[in-house]
Amino acid sequence: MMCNYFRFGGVVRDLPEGLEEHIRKLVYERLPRQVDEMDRYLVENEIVVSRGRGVGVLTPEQAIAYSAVGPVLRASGVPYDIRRADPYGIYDRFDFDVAVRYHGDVYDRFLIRYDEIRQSIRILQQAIAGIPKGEILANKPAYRYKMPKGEAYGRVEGPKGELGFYVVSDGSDNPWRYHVRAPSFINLTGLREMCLGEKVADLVAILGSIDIVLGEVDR
Amino acid sequence: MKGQGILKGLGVTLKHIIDTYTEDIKAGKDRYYNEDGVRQRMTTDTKGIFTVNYPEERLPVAEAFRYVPFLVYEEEDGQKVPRCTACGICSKVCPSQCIWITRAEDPETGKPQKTPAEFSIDIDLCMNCGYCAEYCPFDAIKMDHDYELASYDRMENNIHHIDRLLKPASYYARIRPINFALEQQAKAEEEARKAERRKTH
Repeated sequence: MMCNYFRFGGVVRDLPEGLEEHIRKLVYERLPRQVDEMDRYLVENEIVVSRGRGVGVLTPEQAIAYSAVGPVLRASGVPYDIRRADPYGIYDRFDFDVAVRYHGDVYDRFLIRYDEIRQSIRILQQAIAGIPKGEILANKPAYRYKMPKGEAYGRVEGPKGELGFYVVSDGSDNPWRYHVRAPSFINLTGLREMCLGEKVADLVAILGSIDIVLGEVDR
Repeated sequence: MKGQGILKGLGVTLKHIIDTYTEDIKAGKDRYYNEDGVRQRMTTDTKGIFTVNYPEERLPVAEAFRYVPFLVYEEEDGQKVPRCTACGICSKVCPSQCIWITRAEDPETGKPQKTPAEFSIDIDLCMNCGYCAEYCPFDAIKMDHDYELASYDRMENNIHHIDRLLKPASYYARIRPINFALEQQAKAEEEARKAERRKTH
């Protein structure tokens, strides 16, 4: 976990010895091998196919209307990825495809995660080749920052979709208001449309295909 | 043909079972319940089983792993001398405000001394951010590696008082060898600089 690793102006400490080599082996050998194996195990598995294909369809129009984001939106045929639509960080330097599937059912939402794992491995392979040397923390570390008055919204493409943070400052060192736009919570609002006309037993599969994190849903 | 996909999937599982046994034979010795075995299963080219049987085996934690702070003491003439000077910086930077310090007082004159009389950390409030260890100017408070702290009595066991928090510097050197070496080096340099200054004056 990267808890409290990122700081204003850098990161808190250097990478441990030998980690770069370990990551290189992971992204070039172990991860591609394991993903291919999962692929063989599940993608053509008849239970997965029969429980997933055509179940819990979310049309592109509905997905946009419910502000669905991330894999749920892209599995419905809308190729929207913030890393491509509004590049932040260094994502404009990486060569990757925005995965998209067109049926919007449970099976496509399952498949798109494989596509995205493969794209993520591609990004990691490019990122590990270009880690620069240099200072790890540019400014003096501080536990409290004086913030100017104002408001800001920042967003990133998380594994579940657009993760946004809205902060309002009144000039003191703690935010006056702080709001998180959690992708799981907003993806969950489309559950009704996906479930209409389906069997009760399919609810579990549909809920699983949205891939919610309950910590995000609890707003 | 119906059932082909399931058979293919089962084939993947079967391959793992066979791989596990062939790896066991190849390793020649028992590769479970010892550190070498766990490390071997963590490598990128491991085959067969790669799970860890938790209570008997544990994954080694990284040096920077942090879980609940502890206080470092130096051993001087068989006495525990905490590095802590009760300056209170850690309790000020603590975002969840889980550190309480009482400064020791001289029993005769009542003057405050540079050592803590009481030092309590509520580990249920602590969120393991590590700020206290980062901002301590005396390297007195550090983050521990012991993550098995589950207990039945919150008030009894989850508020660590000074007797439980104090751990020897040798323990710190064992769990964080690289950090410890860097700190010792910085300290030696500082001492040398001070000696140099004293000579010139």
